[in-house]
Amino acid sequence: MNTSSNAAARVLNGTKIYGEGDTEVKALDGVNVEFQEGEFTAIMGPSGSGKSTLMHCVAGLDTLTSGQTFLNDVSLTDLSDRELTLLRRDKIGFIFQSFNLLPTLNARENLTLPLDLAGQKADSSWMDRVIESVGLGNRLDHRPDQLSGGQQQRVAVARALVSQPSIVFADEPTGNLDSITGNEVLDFLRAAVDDLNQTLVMVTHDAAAASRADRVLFLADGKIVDELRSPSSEEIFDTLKRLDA
Amino acid sequence: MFRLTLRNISRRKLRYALTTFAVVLGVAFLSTSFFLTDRLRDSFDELSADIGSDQDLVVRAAVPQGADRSIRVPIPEQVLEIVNADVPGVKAVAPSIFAFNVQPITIDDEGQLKAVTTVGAPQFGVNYYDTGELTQLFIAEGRPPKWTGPIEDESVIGEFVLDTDTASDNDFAVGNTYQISGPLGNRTFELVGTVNWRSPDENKATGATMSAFETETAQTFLNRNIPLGDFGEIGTFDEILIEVDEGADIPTVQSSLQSLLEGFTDEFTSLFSSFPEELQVALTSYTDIEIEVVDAATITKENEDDFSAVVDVLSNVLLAFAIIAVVVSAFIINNTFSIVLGQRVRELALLRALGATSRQVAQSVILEAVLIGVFASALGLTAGYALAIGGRELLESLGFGNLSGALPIRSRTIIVAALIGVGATVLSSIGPANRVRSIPPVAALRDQPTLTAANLRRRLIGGITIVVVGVAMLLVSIFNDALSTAPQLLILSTGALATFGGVYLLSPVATRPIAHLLGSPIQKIFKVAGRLAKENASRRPRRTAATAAALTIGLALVSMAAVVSDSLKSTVGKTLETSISADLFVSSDGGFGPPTGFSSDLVNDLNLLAGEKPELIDSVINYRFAFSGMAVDDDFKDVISTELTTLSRHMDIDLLEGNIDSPIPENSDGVLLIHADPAETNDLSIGDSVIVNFGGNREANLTIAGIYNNAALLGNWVVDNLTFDKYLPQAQDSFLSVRYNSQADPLEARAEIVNFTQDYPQLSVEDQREFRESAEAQLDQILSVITVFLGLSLLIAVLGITNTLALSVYEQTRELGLLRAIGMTKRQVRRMVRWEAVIIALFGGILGVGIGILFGIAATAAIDTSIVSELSIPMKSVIQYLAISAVFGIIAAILPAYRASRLNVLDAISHN
Ligand SMILES: Nc1ncnc2c1ncn2[C@@H]1O[C@H](COP(=O)(O)OP(=O)(O)OP(=O)(O)O)[C@@H](O)[C@H]1O
Ligand SMILES: [Mg+2]
Repeated sequence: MNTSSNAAARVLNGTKIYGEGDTEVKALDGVNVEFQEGEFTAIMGPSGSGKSTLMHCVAGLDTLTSGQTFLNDVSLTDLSDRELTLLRRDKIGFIFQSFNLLPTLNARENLTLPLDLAGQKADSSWMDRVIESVGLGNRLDHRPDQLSGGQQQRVAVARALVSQPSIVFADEPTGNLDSITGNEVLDFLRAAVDDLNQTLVMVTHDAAAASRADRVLFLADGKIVDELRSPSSEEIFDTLKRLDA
Repeated sequence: MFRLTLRNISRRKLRYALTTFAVVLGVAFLSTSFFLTDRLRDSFDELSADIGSDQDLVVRAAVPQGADRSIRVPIPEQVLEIVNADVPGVKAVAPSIFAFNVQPITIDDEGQLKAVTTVGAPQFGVNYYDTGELTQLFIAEGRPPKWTGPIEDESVIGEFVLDTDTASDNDFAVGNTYQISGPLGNRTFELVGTVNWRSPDENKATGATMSAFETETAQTFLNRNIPLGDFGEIGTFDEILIEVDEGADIPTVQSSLQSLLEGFTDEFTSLFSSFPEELQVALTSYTDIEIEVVDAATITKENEDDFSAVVDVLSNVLLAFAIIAVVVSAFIINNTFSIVLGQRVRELALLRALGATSRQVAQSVILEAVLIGVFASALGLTAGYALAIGGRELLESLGFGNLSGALPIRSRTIIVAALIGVGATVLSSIGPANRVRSIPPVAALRDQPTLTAANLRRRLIGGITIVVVGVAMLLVSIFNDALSTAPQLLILSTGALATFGGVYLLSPVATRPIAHLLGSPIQKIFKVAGRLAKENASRRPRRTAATAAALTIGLALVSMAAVVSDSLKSTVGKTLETSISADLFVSSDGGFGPPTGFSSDLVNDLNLLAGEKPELIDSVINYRFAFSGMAVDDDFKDVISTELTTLSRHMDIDLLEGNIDSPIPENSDGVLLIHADPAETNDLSIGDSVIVNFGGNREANLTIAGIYNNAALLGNWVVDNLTFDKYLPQAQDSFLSVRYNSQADPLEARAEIVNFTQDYPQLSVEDQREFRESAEAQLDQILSVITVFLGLSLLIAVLGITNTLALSVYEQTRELGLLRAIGMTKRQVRRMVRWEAVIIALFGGILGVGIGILFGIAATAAIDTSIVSELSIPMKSVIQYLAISAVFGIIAAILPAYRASRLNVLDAISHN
């Protein structure tokens, strides 16, 4: 077995099939991919191409029909539901498109939720850095409905970082935001990679957002069809157009 | 609209299932109580008609309206001669004797004497006769009892027959001799046969005991002879049963008999004109009577009335609890409708946008309620019928006779069940339906549309006003002693309802603070799960409050009962401690049912003992009760007689004026002690003479000798035993109290007493501590029966919590998905839901217990001080109830917690 030591996560020959017979959908079709430590990967592709599915399978939210997923060289295939849950809690960070925060908790509590769930005390210097980087200042005591969408997403990002996970997944984190607020969130994500050496995988439809990544993967019909390194928006556009055709 | 409504229901089956179940339970309980009590009524009516049909006419002493029929005196046997003389149309005549509390004694497996007891059913001693149609007892085994000698002579062994059920249940064997405890005391009888009552093949007297003797033996043993000192005695019968010739006109025979008996009382009285004065006085209760001839219909009617009084109590109690259960389910239905409609606002708004009028939308909601109500009522009726079949067995085992056969399905049962089931559902949906009216079509476009709830400020003001009024009414009922019990209870219950309603209106306001208070320790222990539980419980105060309210109702009633019961207990304790100086008490275990009593032989023997061993026993006195036994201004009062000369050595009735043991003044028939309250209302003071009427027809002129303050011991009206001997000669001793010599060793003294009482295994002998304990045990038993009946309401409340949680979990699908995605374990999810439930349940519990204590205090104050004079709040029970609420929360959460933890994370994340 290939044991490359600096891959935060890998998928080997990942296939995911939904449904049976007539309704069968091959959401992932023999995908092989690695996410290197400290690297910011963007995943792009048309709707229904399997981006979310890939992310969910790597993150232990879903299981492959065949193939294997490794997180820090631990195979997810054999893990129980409980082990997967603990793995998500301790080793994985998540940012969804919306509804990332619990409405009953304030921003600070939402932020520390993964640590609280684990019953861990936060490493306070790390915590300070994360909190400072969110830049909410005294609004940390506010509940989500008192924060703007951008602020909410920044809290979500900080929450994903707070437990110092091996890898953070973001599924269209700026999808619901206007471009300025979206950019703020992207800055924040970029900084996490640059300053904190965070491994980050982000699904996006926005070429400008993808251009902030170190690497862009293109998915179509459940297969990785292309890959660009530190591309510009234009390069991404071109690739998308080419794939569309 | 109708099709849409149906589809709505079928699409949300699960959400409606629990609601429906709550209504089903309420309706089931309601209809069970109807089915059962109807069946009981039918069986009692049959029995009454059956008993009435045996004889055509009955001759007996009249008892006036309002008097208790149990104090009817027997008629002299001379009446029999008149009836037996050739009255045209009379075919057969049977003199009948029946006495209560006649208990055969057997020996149990451990060789101990054991008196036959029943579960509330009477224990008869009767005379055996075989007179054609009039025959009541049919020999099943052996032969009829014969006269074997004068039974007052203790060495004579008499004969008796016993009903087949009692005989076989207690292993009586024909040919053996047994002690029987009766009015004359204990005597020995040989069992010569067994009998069936009212049918040759089957004993119809299931539950009751029936010992039968030859008529003359019965007269002696059952105390039906009037003692005339040196002049011997005159025998009596309780009734004379008459069968009329076939073809004869019964009313004609009845009136000819009645006219024959017209002059009897005067003739009978004149028989004794030469007798000494005291003897004539002793005969008053037999000479002052009026003799009546009544027909079968009258007898049937009387029996029906007696029986239906019993059934009415049972049915009222069951109905009350059923209605509580329905009210509790109404809260749950209302809550479910609010929640479900809240979740459907977008859909309803879309309907509005598509052109449905606000009225149509509201109507569709009501229609939904109607359908659910109809369905739940039908199911409830069916379940009720099934439950009633089980309940019937329970009643049979309690001695209510044979109830086999189909249960009657009256249209009343169906109509009431449907009205209440559908009514409760529809009424509970009106509020939410009205709120639905105000959904604007644009709500369909909003991000998170919600139902606008009634104005919270209005609720606050309304709630406070209603609580203030309610509490004021409670206070009035507590502190206004001038009110009599009935209006006091009315004010109390109105006040209680208002207080509850107000608290319900206010409770959403209290939800957040209380949930935070309760949640803090939970959060300490369970960290995030506890924190989220706390937040979830307080985020929708109205929902939490409404859910908790169902539990509040049940627990308020339980706690109220507990406070009253505990206050009763401490009243008993306090009374024993401060007012009673007697050391030992003897009472019949009979419990409820017909007046229980025992032979005065015992007190006579014990008095002899006291005379022989004064160093051990100071004195023994007996007490007799006559419920509604004495009329004062045509108003029947409960009256107690005792030995007034020694009473003060046994208890302190807190005499305010006069003397307890004053002699009977000239021209007076006896002395009367009276409680201060009736003395005031009847404007009576020391030395006044009062004309009272024992049994309604035996007039006596009593003199007020004392006015006392403590009604807890002997009630309101007390006379001397001599008075009862004269005017209520059939009254038996119900209670004895014994005072030891203060120097005596209690154990030694008690042993002497027990020497005598051991022949009467039906009697319990208790010292102060034991007496208190058994009183407490009885109260505990009543309390647990109440709790069991309220259990259904509590069960419905638990269902309500489950329902709300399930709906909340559904609403929180996305939150749960998020939590699971970022690493909340299933266990933590379950914890979160469970502790939310515990907080809701405890909230309901705290409100319930709080309200219950308040109501209990008010009720205790409202109840007559002769019954409850001390207030006591059972802190242990209060804590138990709160603990139980918490457990209810945990139980209620099992299902929703499981569902929440099993959510598919991916589905949940994409849910909206
Ligand atoms: N639970 C499911 N059951 C059946 N089919 C599914 C399920 N989830 C996803 N699919 C299918 O799998 C394919 C991949 O879906 P996926 O959500 O991964 O696409 P995506 O690239 O994330 O699209 P989008 O850009 O719209 O988010 C689609 O064809 C989708 O219809
Ligand atoms: Mg997707």
